[in-house]
Amino acid sequence: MKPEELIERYLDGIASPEEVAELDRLLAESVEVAQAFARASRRDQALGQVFREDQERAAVQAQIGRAIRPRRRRGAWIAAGVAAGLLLGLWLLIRGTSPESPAIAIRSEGPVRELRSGARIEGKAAFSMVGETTRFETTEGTELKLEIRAGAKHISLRQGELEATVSPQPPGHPMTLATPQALARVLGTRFTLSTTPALTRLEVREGKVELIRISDHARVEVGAGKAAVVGDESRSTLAVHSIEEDRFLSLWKDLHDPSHGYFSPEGIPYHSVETLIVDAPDYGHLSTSETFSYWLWLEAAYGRLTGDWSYFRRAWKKMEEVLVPSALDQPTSRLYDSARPATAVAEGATPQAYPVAADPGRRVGTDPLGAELEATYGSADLYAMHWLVDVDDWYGYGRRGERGRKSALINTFQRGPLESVWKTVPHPSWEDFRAGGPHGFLDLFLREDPYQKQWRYTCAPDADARAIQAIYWAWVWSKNQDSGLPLAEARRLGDTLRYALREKYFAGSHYLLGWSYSWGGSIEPAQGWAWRAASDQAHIGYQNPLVAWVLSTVPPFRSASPGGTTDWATSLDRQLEFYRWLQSSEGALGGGASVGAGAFHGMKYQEHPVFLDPPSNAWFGWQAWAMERLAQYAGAAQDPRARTVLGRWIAWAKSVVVLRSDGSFAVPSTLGWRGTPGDLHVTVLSTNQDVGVTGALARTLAYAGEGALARELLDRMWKLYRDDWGIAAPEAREDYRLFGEAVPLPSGFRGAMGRGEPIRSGATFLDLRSRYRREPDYPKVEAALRFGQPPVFRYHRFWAQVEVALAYAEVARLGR
Amino acid sequence: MDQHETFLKLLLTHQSDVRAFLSSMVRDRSQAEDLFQEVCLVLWKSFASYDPERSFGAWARGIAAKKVLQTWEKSKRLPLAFSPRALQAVLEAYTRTERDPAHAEGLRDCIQKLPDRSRRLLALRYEKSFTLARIAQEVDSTLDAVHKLLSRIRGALQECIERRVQAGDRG
Repeated sequence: MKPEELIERYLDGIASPEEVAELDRLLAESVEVAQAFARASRRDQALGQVFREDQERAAVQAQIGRAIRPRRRRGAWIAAGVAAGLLLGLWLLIRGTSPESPAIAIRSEGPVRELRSGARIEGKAAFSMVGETTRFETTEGTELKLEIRAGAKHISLRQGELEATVSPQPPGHPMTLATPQALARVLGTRFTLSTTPALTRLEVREGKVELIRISDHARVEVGAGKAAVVGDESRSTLAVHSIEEDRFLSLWKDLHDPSHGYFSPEGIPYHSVETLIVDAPDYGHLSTSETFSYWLWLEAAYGRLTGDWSYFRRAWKKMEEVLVPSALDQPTSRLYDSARPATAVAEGATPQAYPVAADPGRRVGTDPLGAELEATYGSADLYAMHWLVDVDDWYGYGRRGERGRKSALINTFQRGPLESVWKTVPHPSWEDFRAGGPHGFLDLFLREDPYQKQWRYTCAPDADARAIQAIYWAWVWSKNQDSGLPLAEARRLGDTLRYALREKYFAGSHYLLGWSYSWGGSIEPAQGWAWRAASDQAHIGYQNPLVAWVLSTVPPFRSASPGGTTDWATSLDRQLEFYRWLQSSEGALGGGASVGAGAFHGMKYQEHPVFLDPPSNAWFGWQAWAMERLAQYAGAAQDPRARTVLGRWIAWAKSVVVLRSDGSFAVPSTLGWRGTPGDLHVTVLSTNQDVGVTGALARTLAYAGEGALARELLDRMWKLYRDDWGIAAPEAREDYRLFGEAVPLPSGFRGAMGRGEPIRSGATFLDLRSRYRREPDYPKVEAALRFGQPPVFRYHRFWAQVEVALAYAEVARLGR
Repeated sequence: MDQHETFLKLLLTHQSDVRAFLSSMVRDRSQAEDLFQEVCLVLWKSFASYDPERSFGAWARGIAAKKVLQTWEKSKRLPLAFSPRALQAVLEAYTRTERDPAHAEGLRDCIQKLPDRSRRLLALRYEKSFTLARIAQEVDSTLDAVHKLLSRIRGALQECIERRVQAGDRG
């Protein structure tokens, strides 16, 4: 007989003595049999528990009776006394009630069914009131007490969250709910009440609830689809907002709470609250122009809801101060000669091909913008954001080489399409040879003779465009208000952004938002020089037709330079054409194009423009970003060209978003591509719950009139991933094994990072960033390196938090 | 949270596992139940020596196993089915295969999905705690047939739970 069958017979009570003896022997000898036995007996117990719950409760009760009247054997008196207290406690915990009163509610989840006045509920539970359809659900960590007071139901919610559907209550006996800060009176409705030691929030789905602030007895009626908060000192009036607006305000508060750590002590937003994180920025307390552009947009939405535009103005000022290089940061820009913008250099296919030499054979055109911009603004300094800043001077380079000076502008990517973040060498934008080797870091990237001290900055055009997009909406939303928006500065930012429309060495213009543009010069003015270069690559995820439209048609933003308006008008048409050209049969958008004989205005299709590690158009986030802008443009300009592309994309997006019956969801994470424009196809390779991307997707859906799906996604995110700091989903970082991977370095190179780490062939990502070893989360990385176990993090990225917050604000603005 | 509350919470979480272990060793239900109550007392009295780093379940079952052996040694009337060696092996197996709360959750749903006839049979066995002989009488069948039927139903439940857990994992 098989051991499993022996176990079954034994547990069913029909095993013969011989069979029991045989089982006894097998158990002692075989680990497998013992485990099978453990599983089977657990299963029997579980079955018994399900079927016998009532009986077992009675048994515990009887046991308490026995324990209270100690009838036990000698020596058991003290024990029995303890037992009485213990079991009574156990019983009360299970029953949550005193035995005399009648049951007022039935608990339908967990082991106990009847609840009496005075019952306490802890943790996740569901219960219904006796004799009505009123139903409550609590979440993990909830503590509440249920009572009858003067014939009315009363719930004291100490902490946690309660979701309620309350049927009409007897006249004159409204149900009341109390939290430490507020009292809610309910006549019959569907709502969610949650509380922490500091804050109470009420969201009403149906009906009406009266909310009373205990501190000053201020009261409001909160109707269907509305929410109110008590305990938020930033909101002195007890105001009622829509649920989505309220969620926006709640996230806004989380982002600005100094104890949460989204901002540096100087008020600079970090890439993420967490320090140990490697995205495009290779450390969490760096910041990017992307982060700042999201910050501006956050404050634009806040201004719309509150009429307070001071946060927007401050954000713009901080952006200027930190990321727009000052006159001191670009001291020799006046030496720039538009007729000779730069010396062309070759591009290497791999990081190992660097340093690269000058390419004298390559034609360098004339920069059409330099003279025009200088004439308009009276300065040769460019007004644009550099993309990456070391907020706390973690790398130790200091701003302009001044040791200890924070907000050091730095750069990482320099070495072609295969240089992933894991292969980069972070270096100062102000190259004064103090760190690195004898020529600083220059000879990692370029062969020159002689090497000269220099400054250089790189603009990520999507971020500058996003900043303009944000101020455009701030302007729209603040009409007739004294908002004091920095419109002249925005116009100059937009004018300078025209560099993004040029080919790398100014042989022509592609009129798309290129991947980057850079400018630099010598530190020494004597025999000094300056240069500028743009990009031959255009990624769909960078395009922003809304901004091209704003800069070419909306008066306060139209360029003050003669060529600006036509540049942006041409760009708008070109971008719209680009979207149409890149749209796959399914609806998703292909990667982009690069300058070189091809079908798109002399450009050829690139499945993954600019970078291949990871492939640049695999990330679904680019889709949401590109379409969010097209959808806004379609709405603002009512352009049918945009509507067609948008409609097809939305149909595809709806077909690949997954809403599961258990309340979870999935959005595409990586995409696979095949074919070329005209016969281009996409497949979803993997999905995830990325909160920032889902926020961007929800916003796009809302702009396209798909508010219901947008709300559903946002609602699910709130339920699943809301935490004390914002919205965060767990993510496993399989790539963190690359902390230990060698960074390609030229064999002869010898130098040191800003903190003294030696730079020499064989050094790993971690070797160049030794301070990572001091990070509190470092052991998780070490485990990944040793055991190949991908560590799991819940990151709070600034941009992602803003995406989600904005999605709530925009869904609220656009209505149902 | 005071110590008393902490203890009660832990006990509530792990009681069914302690009960499962006890009733797999001591087949008489009321004796197993009495033993469980005594084990609870010992657990409470020695709670001060419990190391919170360790699994409470493993600690509690260890004490339960000792209690079973002590009781058995004092009075051989306790119908202990297995030798101390087998008992020890089962104890270790329990610790190696920790209880999966997802299984407990799935069980209720899977029972709901069973045909009425199967559910009735399970109720006789687990709610009424009838012996198989009595069940055979009730449903007018043979001991062996009832046992085979029960085994099949339990197998189906197991499959259903595993499907659920796996589906949950994928999500």
